[in-house]
Amino acid sequence: MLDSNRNQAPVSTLGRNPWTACMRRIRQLVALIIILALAACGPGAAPDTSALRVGIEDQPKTLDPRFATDVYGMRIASQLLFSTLVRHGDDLRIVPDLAERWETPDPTTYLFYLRDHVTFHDGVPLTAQDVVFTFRHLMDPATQSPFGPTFRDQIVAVEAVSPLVVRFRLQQPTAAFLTSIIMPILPQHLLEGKEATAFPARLVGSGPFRFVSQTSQAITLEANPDYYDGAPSLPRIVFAIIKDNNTRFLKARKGELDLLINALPPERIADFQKPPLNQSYTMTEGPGISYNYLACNFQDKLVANPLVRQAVAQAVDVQEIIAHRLSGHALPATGLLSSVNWFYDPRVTGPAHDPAKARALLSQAGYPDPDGDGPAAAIALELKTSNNAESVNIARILQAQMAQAGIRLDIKSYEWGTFYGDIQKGNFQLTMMRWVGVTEPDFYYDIFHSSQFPPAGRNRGRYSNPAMDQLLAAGRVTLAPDKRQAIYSQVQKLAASDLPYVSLWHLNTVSIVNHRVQGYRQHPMASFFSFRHITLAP
Amino acid sequence: MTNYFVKRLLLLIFVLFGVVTLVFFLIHLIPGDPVDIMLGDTAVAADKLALRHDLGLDQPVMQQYGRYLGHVVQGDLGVSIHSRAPVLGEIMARFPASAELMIGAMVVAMLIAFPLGILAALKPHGLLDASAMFFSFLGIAMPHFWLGPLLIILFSIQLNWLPVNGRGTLAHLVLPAITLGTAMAAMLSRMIRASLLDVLGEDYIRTARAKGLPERTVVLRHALRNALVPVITVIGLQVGVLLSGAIITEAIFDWPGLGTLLLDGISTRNYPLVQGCILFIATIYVLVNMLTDTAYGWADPRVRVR
Repeated sequence: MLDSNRNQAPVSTLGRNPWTACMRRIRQLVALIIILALAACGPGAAPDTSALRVGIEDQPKTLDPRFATDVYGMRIASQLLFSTLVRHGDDLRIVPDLAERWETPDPTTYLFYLRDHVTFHDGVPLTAQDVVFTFRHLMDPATQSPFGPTFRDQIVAVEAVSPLVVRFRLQQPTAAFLTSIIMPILPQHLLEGKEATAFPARLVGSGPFRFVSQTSQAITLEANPDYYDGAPSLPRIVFAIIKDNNTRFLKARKGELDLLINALPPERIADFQKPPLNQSYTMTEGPGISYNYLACNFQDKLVANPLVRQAVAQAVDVQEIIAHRLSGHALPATGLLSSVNWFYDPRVTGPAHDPAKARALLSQAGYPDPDGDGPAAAIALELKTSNNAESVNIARILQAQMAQAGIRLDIKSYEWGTFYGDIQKGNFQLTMMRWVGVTEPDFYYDIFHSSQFPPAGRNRGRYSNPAMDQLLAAGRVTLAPDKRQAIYSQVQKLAASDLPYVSLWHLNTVSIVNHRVQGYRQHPMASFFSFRHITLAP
Repeated sequence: MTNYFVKRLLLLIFVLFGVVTLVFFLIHLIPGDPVDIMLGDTAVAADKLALRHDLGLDQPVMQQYGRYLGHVVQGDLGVSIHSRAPVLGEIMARFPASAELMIGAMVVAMLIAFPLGILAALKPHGLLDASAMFFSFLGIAMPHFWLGPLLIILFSIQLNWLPVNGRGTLAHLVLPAITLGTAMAAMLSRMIRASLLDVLGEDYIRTARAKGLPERTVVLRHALRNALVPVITVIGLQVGVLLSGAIITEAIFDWPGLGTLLLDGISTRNYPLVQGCILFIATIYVLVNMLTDTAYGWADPRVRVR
């Protein structure tokens, strides 16, 4: 295609040359660019200081509550834009929201009495018909809502008894029903008859804030002056989507963020407790509900051996990881439920860190250490993690800890899609994962009942114990709180001895709050409920 | 010339066909199911089946490929699995940001590279050359994830001259462009130096000096122009890299470009989005290289396009 003819004369050097003119233009262009660059200097558009500026780590995939499954999408939709029949109180018990009160005339019937004078953001009153529409719409397979299957399993019928009373009839007594219906109530007048998966042009809910805009960089909400519980004090909330941990930290350091809830890596939190940042920010810390664990695959012959699982659990030094890798911002876990959950049983304890005992257990299991204190391992196990840098770093610490107990841990880290696919297929020995937002103990059924193997359920380690199955089946239909608590105490004890999961830690909920923010109250679920009570000092 | 463009356009069709085919089969080879990732843990098998059917993922791969190819020919890149919005629309919404960053980085790179490269070539093996080449090593060695935050600390926090992140005003572009342009500047300056040193040793340069032309004219008018051909090649190749490979810079500065869109698409197995992004970037890449080839003739008339 190109022909370089060396016999031709070099570029002419005589007379007026287009090159000269071109060079002149280039010089002018360079001068223009430098002038523009200098003119550009300035901190950008003035920040909107009348708004609460909340730093978040990722963009919600959608704010449409029918499809939102990620943490930020669900929190913004169900806690700020929309209202729900009931919600979680500070101690994670169910408290009223749209429903002033509810009754259970029999174990399979619930009657919800709605507040009067609640309106959607477009002024249309919210009635029992909207509640009925919401649940029927979500249960309709054509909607393809990820929440549909749960409601189809639980609900036989939902009907409006009067404009302000809704009746739910259930398949069977369902203890977790009140938790599962924490679902934004949708406006029937805007969605009925529309294609189920069509996204509304503007999200209209009945929550304390109204939707203004969403870009890849920010989500803006404004106060709903007609909110049933009084207009919020804040005129606006801007969620600044900042994916990079460093940039989020630097943005806060510059004073351009007012609130960060669990949105900084643990090693950054200490910066806000010392000058100069402690002059502008306060750190609030409390127990959280996320749960980090190692899942054991019972289909693997080696891991299925209870002595091996016990050895793995005793090889792990959770306190060391919390102190050195998590900067102390976590509490050791003994099971799925954290201490803030009222089903948590403090009498259940996990296996203590004891590498010598772990070696002894491996010997007892038929895997003696081949060379005493030497480098050879008694067994080799594979730990699968995502390629998230933090997970890989923690996996390396676990590797070093297990080596002391005679276990060679091979770390295999994969990009999320591949990793998740492998875990679903049961293609692992040990895997490190986290559950987020678990409040209802019936979740144990999803992860430990033998009917819940993937792809239908989430018992990824294929753990099966008839005693556990029996307890979990009883727990989900027992409505009396005391009896339920007794059942789940036994579940926690059994899980701690069978070790389908080796418990690691519960990350603390940590809020970094700018001094100009007043009225923020931290919630163990890191929720946004208190935003409507926040005021901003000038 | 017209003949040349027609030939290149025909070639473009073959290249794009190859890209579509390769990307389609490669992404289907990656483990991980988009339906699993999309519906999450709560979905039951029946819902997964239904969605798989809706998305056409239950059909044989060859049939999916044929259908996709048919749509692409008609300019339809499909619908994003997650947002259900047309892929082309999502790409076009991000393209201006990517193009802006690419042009900014290119300008920064050239503003640094040309003076450095020329100064280094004029006094080879001197102090100036050593300093310029030291900078170039530094530029190549500094990773974006380190340089970006460093620039933010200096210019946004200490001096308060520029915004930390985001896109909007020209001020928002300065730091991402410097971050992305520095490594390219370093590479270009080395290339300009080497190419210019070659040309400065040519007979016609000696002639130009012998006839008494000022050194500035000799270098800028006669030598530099002839030294530009390899530099243009590199600049052309870098366009594609800057357009799609700015993922780290985009992440640091929350720049809403194509790189992060593509990365998100890969991690969520959003097949149509990934295919669309790569096809789009490949098209731009081929077109830019076509323009690069024609630019050779502008820089050096001895080089003719046939």
